[in-house]
Amino acid sequence: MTVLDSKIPDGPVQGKWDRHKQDIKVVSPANKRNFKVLVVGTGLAGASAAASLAELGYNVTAFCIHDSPRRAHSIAAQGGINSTKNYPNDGDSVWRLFYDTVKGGDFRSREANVYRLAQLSSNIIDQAVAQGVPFAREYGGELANRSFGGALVSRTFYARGQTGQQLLLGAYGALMRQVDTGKVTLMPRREMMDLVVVDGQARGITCRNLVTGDIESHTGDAVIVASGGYGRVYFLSTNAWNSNSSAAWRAHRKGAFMANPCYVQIHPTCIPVNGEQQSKLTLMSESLRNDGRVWVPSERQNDLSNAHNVPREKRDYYLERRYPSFGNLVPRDVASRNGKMMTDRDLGVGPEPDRLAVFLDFRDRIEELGKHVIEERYGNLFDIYHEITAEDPYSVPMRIYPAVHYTMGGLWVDYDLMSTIPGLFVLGEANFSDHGANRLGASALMQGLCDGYFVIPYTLGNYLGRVELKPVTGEEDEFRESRSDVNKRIDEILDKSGKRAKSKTRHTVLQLYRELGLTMWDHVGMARNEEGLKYALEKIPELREKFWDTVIVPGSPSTFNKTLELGLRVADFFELGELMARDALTREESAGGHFRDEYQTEEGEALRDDENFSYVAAWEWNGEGKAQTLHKEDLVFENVKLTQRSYK
Amino acid sequence: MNLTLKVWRQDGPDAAGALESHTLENVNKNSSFLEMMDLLNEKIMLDGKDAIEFESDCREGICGTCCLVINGQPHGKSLGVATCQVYMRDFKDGDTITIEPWRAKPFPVIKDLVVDRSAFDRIQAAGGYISVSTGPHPDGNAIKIPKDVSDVAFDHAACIGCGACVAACPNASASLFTSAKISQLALLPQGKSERSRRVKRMVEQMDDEGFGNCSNIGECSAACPKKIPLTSIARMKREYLRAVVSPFDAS
Amino acid sequence: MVPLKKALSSSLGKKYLMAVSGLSIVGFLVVHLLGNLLLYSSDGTAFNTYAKGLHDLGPLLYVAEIGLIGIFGLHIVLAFMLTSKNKGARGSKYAGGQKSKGGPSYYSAASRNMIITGMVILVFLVTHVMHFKYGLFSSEAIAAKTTMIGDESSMDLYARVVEAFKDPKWVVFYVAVMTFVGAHMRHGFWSAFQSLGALNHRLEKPAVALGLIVAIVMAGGFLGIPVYIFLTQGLGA
Repeated sequence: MTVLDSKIPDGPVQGKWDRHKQDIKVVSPANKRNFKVLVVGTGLAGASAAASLAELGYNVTAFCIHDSPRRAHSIAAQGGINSTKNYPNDGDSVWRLFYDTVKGGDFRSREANVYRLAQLSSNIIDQAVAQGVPFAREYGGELANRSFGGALVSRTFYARGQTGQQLLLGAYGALMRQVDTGKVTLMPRREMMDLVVVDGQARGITCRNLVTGDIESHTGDAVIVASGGYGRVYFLSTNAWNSNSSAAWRAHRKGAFMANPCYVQIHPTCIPVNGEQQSKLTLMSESLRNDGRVWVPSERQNDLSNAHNVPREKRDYYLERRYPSFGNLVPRDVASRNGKMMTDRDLGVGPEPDRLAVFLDFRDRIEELGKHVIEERYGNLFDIYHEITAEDPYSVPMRIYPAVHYTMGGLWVDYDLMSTIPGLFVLGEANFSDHGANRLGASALMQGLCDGYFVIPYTLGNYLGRVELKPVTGEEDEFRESRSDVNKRIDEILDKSGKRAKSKTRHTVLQLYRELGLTMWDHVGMARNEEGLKYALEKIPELREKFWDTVIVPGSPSTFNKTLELGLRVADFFELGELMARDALTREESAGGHFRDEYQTEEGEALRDDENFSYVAAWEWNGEGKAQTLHKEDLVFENVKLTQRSYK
Repeated sequence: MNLTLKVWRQDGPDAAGALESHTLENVNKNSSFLEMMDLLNEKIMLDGKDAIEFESDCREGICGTCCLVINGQPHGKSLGVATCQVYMRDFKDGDTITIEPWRAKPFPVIKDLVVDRSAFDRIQAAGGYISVSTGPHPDGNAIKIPKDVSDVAFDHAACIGCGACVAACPNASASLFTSAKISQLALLPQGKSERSRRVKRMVEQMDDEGFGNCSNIGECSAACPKKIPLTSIARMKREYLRAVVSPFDAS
Repeated sequence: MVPLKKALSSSLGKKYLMAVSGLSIVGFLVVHLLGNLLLYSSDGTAFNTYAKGLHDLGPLLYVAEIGLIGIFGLHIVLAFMLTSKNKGARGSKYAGGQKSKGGPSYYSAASRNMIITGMVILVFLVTHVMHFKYGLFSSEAIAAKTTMIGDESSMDLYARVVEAFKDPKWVVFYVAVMTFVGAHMRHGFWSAFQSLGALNHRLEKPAVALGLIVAIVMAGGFLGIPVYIFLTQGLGA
């Protein structure tokens, strides 16, 4: 018997959310004033949640790792946001978005959550428009749509290539409006270092003031973690420099189960790695695949300085060849894996010796539509590419390669988005809930905002209205211990005791971090196998030991200290990376972003094992140095038929 | 390539600061400027010294975190880029590069090259939004917005809040930042009902923060990574003038 | 609605007042220049008749003069207030100096030094009024000289002007100052429209271009007078 209760309401999937809303306990407006909610993270999910809860009357304290909520990494999302408005009249519906998302997630997500997401998607657009988000418009003044990321209908709303920015600024505006009214206390430059659990309930956090270094306790009646994903465990990813897993990981160590950590999305269209000093990869929106054609030479070519000279019959448009109906628009996991397949066969293009890239070629469309049309559609993306690579994509094909982009796994939550710790809610990319083993394009923004604007304002009341909460002051033993643990960890990483100072070989945080990233990418990356995962499970603890024995973290704990911040986050990545490898090893099937070499069809497609692995893997922390315990939440599919995912 | 770097070091808002010289070898010309800074810090830390504090986040020009004045120019010499989009191929072997923080009274230095830009958040809180709460709203298509209006609104909405406008302005004026938000919301039909209140409060907050006056020099627009035009400021002045003479808004 | 007092004390309000007073001064200068064009006629009667006409306005002239003093005074006081706030807002300077990024920027010696050009003009203004209104720097004979306009005796202002501009020192002084006036107007003229919010993406460039034309025409018009008089009467004599 599983300890996990997902609390999915009964009845047909179409009515679950409506029925649940009727059953939900509503906290009276007078009482909302008496509750204080801590929101950690101020990206799309966190800012929308903090603003919406404050509007309802809750007292909210919002913690922001940046100097301003406007800098959260949601801002970098380019492509768009899905919604079932069906404005183009091309047959979209709640059902179709629901089905596409469940299928796109390779049947590893919860039907009820996904259906709710599809249902609420249309409210998000109305909300954003009311906030003044400048979505693209048609000449008639109506909202424009495009097709995106492997969808057969045009359901994606966008604001040039900066949809995430505009949606985040909308949520940020709503949040700042509540800061102005005094209902939200904004705590910028604060990093959550620990979750405080009192009597089994999440009652506060310990955080570090990133300017003064003060270790602060904050108390509340509920804690909402919306701290994003953990893609930076790979070091090189499209995620921002400050993105990290520590808030979620610290909650995990306090009892929140971590679900499906092996599900990582590798985005197919990124600018390839260039040089050892590289710190960050840049995504090229996948909307480029609407007009760009992906190819490699059909035989290894040594000189590709002028790719256009390669005759057509010597090119392999492998996505079009292998997937005639979706062609270049296959979902991300499929496109990424195929790209890797080509470079593994030594057909890659780009600088020696790695040749880790494939072409994304616009020549045919430029000939067909004219340069100005392509410029209007993708001008800013072409500029970014040109800026980074110093190559002009109008005249030579782009070189692209997959890069880590998003993590589908995260803290386990029930239908109310509450974790296994009562009072700890998890929103947005930080939870595991809606995308299964692979996320479709333009649905991250949708999920983050859906959780923040339209789910948590209801479900939080369902918790606060039902539980007994005794007053806490921040001076209880649990808070004291937490502060002291955090201080100890900081002292240790700064080598207060001086034990590391004696060691001969010392390494910077970045050196060790790169090493971890490379291990993760090579063995827990795009394609995994038993041997590699077992190697990673040995290697990562060694690296962790090496980290604690040799790392250099200079500077003071009581000033602004970026190296200290990064060091603490990287230390958590070592623990998380190990769990990812263990999860990937345990999942003896291929599903979505999790591809095991041993489990593939004859054509090299992911081969699921629905009989044995149709479950959510939720891992329970057992203490330092002990392996986590696996708990399984069985996935029940009542509405969609499990099929081999095919985009042929 | 090999470089000499003169980097501003300052312990805190009230401490005196100074330029500190470093040399750095073997910088890859395809590295970004910030990767060069990472490399410099690696070297400094391996030498047993404290790293230079600077900020960055997305490293793709959209979050607005990075903020370096490179050779006397915010975000370096190129137009329309943030610091993270500056590449080392813009420099020559043997160059000396001076790196300083944004300089403005309302942006006190936190440490080295890191400044406190919370004044921008307070300006935003004073009215940089449309006052709607979460909940049911009219269908997105119920409000028709001509494409050109929407496009111009977007041009202003593109602001990333980096503060280069302030750093570049000889008067450290925040007019371009403030006017970008005011312009976006004044252009859209949704934003019109509270336009007077918005411009009044945001300008008041901008003044209270201690930013300088706009002298129409336009260096802000040249430094802006999103190329927000100076006409944005003209629109703010119109909006304010309108709020002065408008008899309708009681606020 | 923003209360007027509050509005005018805001940073934007001060700039509205700067713009309105500046444009009023430009208006005054246009009239002043038109009148002064009479100096290009080597017969002083026309100019003296014009001067007498102004003088005969009596009380109205005082009203106009007080108005001008008010406008100039407002422009000057605000200029000092704005500049002092601007200097304070920068805090410490860039240790390595600042360089313009070019592009859409109007960063130039003119736009950067409005307070300097303005102060030079202020010093000039005082000198100029003392010189020609009160004859402070004229020889005693010329300062007291009168001429007959019709059947009335009037001050011979033309003689005062000619005496000054036969002297190369005054010519150099006036020419130098007029280049400052030109520089001030080069940024100030279009800038006033920008400060009043009158410009948009179509009007900005034309306004800037017009500013240059206005600056050249005005500075050139004023500067030509001493040069012309010097060439025709100073050197010729």
